[in-house]
Amino acid sequence: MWLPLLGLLLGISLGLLSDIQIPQEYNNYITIAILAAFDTLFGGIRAYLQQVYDDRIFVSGFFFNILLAAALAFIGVHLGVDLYLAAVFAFGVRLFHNIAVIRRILLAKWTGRNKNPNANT
Amino acid sequence: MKEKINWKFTMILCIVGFVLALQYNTINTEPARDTRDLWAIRKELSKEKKIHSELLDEIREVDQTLSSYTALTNESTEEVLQNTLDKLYKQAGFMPITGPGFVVEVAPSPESIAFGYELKPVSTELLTWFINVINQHQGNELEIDGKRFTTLSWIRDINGKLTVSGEVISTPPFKIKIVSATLEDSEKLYNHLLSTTIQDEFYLDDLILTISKPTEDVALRGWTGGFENQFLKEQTKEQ
Repeated sequence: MWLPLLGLLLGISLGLLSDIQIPQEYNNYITIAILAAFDTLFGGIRAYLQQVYDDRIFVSGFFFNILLAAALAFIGVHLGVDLYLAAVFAFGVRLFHNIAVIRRILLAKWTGRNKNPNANT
Repeated sequence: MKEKINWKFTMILCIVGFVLALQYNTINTEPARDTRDLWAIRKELSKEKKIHSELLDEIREVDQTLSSYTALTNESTEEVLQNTLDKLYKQAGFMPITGPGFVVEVAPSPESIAFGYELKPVSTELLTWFINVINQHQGNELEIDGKRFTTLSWIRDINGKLTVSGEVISTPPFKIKIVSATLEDSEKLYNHLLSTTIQDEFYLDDLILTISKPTEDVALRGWTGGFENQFLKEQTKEQ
């Protein structure tokens, strides 16, 4: 439990200490990459709690989602259409959904009831 | 199994944290404030305009060469090419030139002669500094003690002797000739030299710098040594 948090802290401190700044024009890409990363992360946590977690799906999903989102943003910039908004919307909806499922599972575990976590989401 | 999951989560979270911190860095860095006032901006603008006009001049010159190339007939080919070659030689400092300029004489100071001090050659640092002062004004041609100073020339101390491009400069007195594009430029440079501390710097080394007034005709010799060509290659006829 503590190891992943330690990893997060390590990443944050590395990033803050490195003093690297991303040029303004790449801001869209990085925002969407962060969103995609969060989506995969919460998806992974949900899958783990539902006991359907698969290593390969998690790791490949993480990188693939980030690349797909960045590619979408790239195409959008070159077509003059804000395609990255589509990715933001999709990831946003999934993020809320995943967090809702995690909340329900944790609540169900906490209260000791064995309800189906997917019901009424 | 759980350890494996933990390890992968840790890696991914580390990447996420890193990217988050980068984004935070990017967003929370204030752009550097532009503290220039109106006059500083005007000064920069005038500098840019000067560059602009210089570039236009260069373009015009190249256009003229190009039009002379396109208009040439077989008989005049050689002449035009010779002209271009002469121009390049002149630019590189290989041709003797005559133009408006002035002469600077470097001589030992009367005090050092009276006290009988040993005459030493000018130090490389001092000569380099002098040339840097001259080069603050563009488009000047130089000759130091009869040796033409080109853009490829170098100043070095070889076994205690001052050399320019490998040729020894005699101990003072010797003359430095400076030719500018116009008499006006020459006068500007003359006044600039008088206003700097260069004469005092020479005096500290027991030398007197006598700067004569600009005249219309100052003759410079051409650079007689060869030059090393590292990058350009001769094209064969087939190419």
